[in-house]
Parts: sequence; C-alpha cells; structure tokens
Amino acid sequence: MKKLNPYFTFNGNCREAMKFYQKCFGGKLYFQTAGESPASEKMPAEMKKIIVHASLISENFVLMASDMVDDQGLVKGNAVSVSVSFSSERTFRSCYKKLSYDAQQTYPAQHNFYGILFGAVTDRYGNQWLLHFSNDQ
Amino acid sequence: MAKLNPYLNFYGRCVEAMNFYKGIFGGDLEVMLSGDSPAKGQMPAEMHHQVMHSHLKSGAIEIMGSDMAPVNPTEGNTVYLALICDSEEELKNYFGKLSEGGKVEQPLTNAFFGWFGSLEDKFGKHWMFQGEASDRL
Repeated sequence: MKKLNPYFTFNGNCREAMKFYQKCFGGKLYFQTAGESPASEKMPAEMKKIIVHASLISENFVLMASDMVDDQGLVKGNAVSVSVSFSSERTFRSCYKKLSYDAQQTYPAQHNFYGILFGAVTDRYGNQWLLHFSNDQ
Repeated sequence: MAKLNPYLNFYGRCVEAMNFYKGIFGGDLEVMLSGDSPAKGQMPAEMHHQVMHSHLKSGAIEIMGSDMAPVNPTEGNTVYLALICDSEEELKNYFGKLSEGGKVEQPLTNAFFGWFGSLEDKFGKHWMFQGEASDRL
C-alpha cells in the first residue's frame, strides 16, 4: 500500500531534532548513520556520524528525516507545513506546549471559527506545524 | 495518537495544484473558498476566490492545501513529501506524472537500499520516492 510521509532535511543536527520530536510526539525512533552504510570505509570519522535516514514511528504517524544535503544546499521555505490531527484535546495541548519550546507560535492554540481547536508553530528547527483537534473526528 | 499530513501553500494556484494531484492519485477533493467560509467578512473581495482550505484523500494518501499564503512565500527544499510504494510500477507511474512540467532532481534508480528518486514538481513542491523496504530504515 502506498503512503505519504513528511521528510525533513537537517544540516547536521538531525539526531538532536528527531529526539526533540520524539519528546513531543512519542513513538519509536530509528537512525541509520553514514558509518553503517556499505560506502563507509572510505569516509572520515566525522562523516560517519551523519544521519542518512531517521524515522519516528507510532500508530498512524511516520516522520522521516536526514542530514543528507544535495549540492544546491538547504533552502529554508515557508510554503510547506506538516498538519497534525490529534484524537484528544489532552495530547493536542501537551504536544503544542512541547513543540513551542524555543519556537515561534504563529497561531496561539484556540478554537477557530469552525470550532476546531487549532494552533500553529514554527519550531526551533524552523519547521512549520499546524496542530488541530476536533471532537467530531 | 496523532496523524501527520503535508499541508501545502500555493498562493493563488491551489485549485490547479490540488486538481493536478487528484489527477495523479485519484480520490476525493474538497475545496473551501474564502468567499464561502465564515471568515469571508474579514477578507477583501478580491481574496474570496482563493482557497481557504482543501483536502485530497485517496486511501492512505492525504494532502491538504491552501492559498492562504505566509508573508513572503518561499519554496524551500528542507521538507519533502516522501511517497512510499510497494511496487516498481507504482513508483515509476507516480514519478513520471509528478515530474511533468517539473524538475527531476534524482532519477528513479534501484540503489543498494532500494528504489529512490526525487523531484520538484511544477508547483515547486519537493517529492521523494522510496520502495516499501526503506520505510523503516
């Protein structure tokens, strides 16, 4: 079955960032470093620490990430966000608070005109999140 | 506990983009225009034809989109939409269709860790393609 997951790229701090997201959302965290890859023998030690692929996984939830940057380098944008829909108000509020650490709250958590509890955050790594919870989900 | 979906900003081309994705993935597309939303009164008339919120759902694939743009919208490359398929045929099919009018970054190839490819579509959104086995690691 096909799936669509958000995939973040970091500039060397993938491990730190994914651990932060694990604290926010829970789930199991998996890392694959460059040092574990078949091409690792020729690499300097510093390079072996680079995260080739990371995934944070829980039920219905897969967030993937990497430190692998291609030749054009990283360009930080603001036109793609990750929407997170919560099944309880308690987890919504808990995650919103945790993600807000050292972040910019672009929309404080409140009920919007549809009656949906909504909040938006640009987190400490510059990634944009739209969190929502509604009773009728 | 929580469910993740990509949320894309198109600043004026949302209907066109979401129909492009619907043509590729199929499924149901819901579009709410600003002029039909409860926030209509707070917006100038020239914004009423813009998309407040849209939602494409095709099986496990869900994409949300809007024309409600951030200030100075910028397309970055640090957030990808990672499409994971369990067959080579599916990967090739989606890769071909999503690359129409866009830019192939990494042609779809069968690497040591499985199938991989990436592209920027004609709306500036970045997609990554993986075989099923590379979901976890």
